Amino acid sequence: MYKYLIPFIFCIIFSLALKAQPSLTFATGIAADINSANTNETFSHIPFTLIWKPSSRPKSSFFFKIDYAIPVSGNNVGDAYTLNPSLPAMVTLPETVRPYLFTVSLGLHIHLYTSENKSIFFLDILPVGICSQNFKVTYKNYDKVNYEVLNPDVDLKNSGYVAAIGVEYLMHMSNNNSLAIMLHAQSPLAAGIGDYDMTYRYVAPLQLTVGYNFFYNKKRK
Amino acid sequence: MKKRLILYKLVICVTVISLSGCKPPRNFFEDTDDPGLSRLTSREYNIVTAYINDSAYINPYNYNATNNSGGNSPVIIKVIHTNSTMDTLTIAWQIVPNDTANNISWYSNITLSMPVPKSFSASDFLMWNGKRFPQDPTTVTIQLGQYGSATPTGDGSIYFIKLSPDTTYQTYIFSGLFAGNIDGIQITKGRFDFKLSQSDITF
Repeated sequence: MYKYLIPFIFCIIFSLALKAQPSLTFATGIAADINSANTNETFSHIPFTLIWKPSSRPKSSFFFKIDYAIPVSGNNVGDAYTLNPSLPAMVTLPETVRPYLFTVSLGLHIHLYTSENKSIFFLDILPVGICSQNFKVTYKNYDKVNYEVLNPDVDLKNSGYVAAIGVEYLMHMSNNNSLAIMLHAQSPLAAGIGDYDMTYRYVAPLQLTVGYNFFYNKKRK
Repeated sequence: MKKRLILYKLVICVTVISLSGCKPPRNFFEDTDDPGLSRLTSREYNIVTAYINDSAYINPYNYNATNNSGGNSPVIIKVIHTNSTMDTLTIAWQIVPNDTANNISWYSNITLSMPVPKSFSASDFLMWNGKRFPQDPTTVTIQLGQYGSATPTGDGSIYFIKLSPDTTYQTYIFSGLFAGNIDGIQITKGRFDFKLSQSDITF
């Protein structure tokens, strides 16, 4: 299904770019997981966002968004057991779970308000996105020779459909570019965790990012 | 009429295909630190694995396609009454090599034996939750069933990590570790995870 989605997305984008003044936004910030199913780990990330708008129409326009989020937290514990009578029967090990997120989305800006100084509020709707979530699990101080972790979490990589919604504020600057402040909430993957249960679930990031929006290939009036 | 016939055939085909995919699960999730062995779990997966001289063994999967029954072979727990002052509790599993390229096996089963009082009951067994053996005065003997040969016996150890009722309180989680040494045959990294019913521990 993905092989039909990507060419379709590019057809839409290039058809809009024919008579457009495109812009780019680079942004970064912080993100927190709002998936209530994640009761054992609290995930937070540093996201890096790239937004490409093929058209500069102020009222509304499609945009193409790429996010890469680096995890900075996600901790739990695991119990490990041993038969060795000279060692403690059970130890509790610190566990770190680090989910790396990569998302490609197609969205629509809906114009909400333009201020006197040309700053603009948008409602962003991103109904189509593909997200890859790559979980890396490690247990600290794990004596693998003598101990076995009970019900261990393991690495998991999966991709699936996501949707997102948010708001964007473009603060107009003197050079006609903008400071962008964005808040986006993304759904977790529409996919199962698999037959083997983990203590963690897919991440649903709530991102607050700040960046710079600028036009390129400006047309002469 | 013809369209209805095609629809009926389609429904039957879909039903047969969907039912044939509902086999009892194998529940083998490989431990990446110990290739060929399952992860140590307490999720009632009905699985046991161990290395015997560094070769991975697992309980066999017995499936009857005719009535869609079967699954991983069970654990057999029983008390053998003896003429001595103590009876013997045995915990036994069938085993096969966990290697599809090599089905030849010298070994057919593993049995762990422990002396217990004549009055030993299911509630005494459940009191072993969280306990490691051997623990004075309880010893552990391990046996390997071999095809066409005598059954060698040696010293073993077992850890009942979880031996407690599950969330239904009708069945029990039976999960733990075991190991042994029989005249140089090393049984290492043994782990088991089973669902026990009341009848499985009626002594």
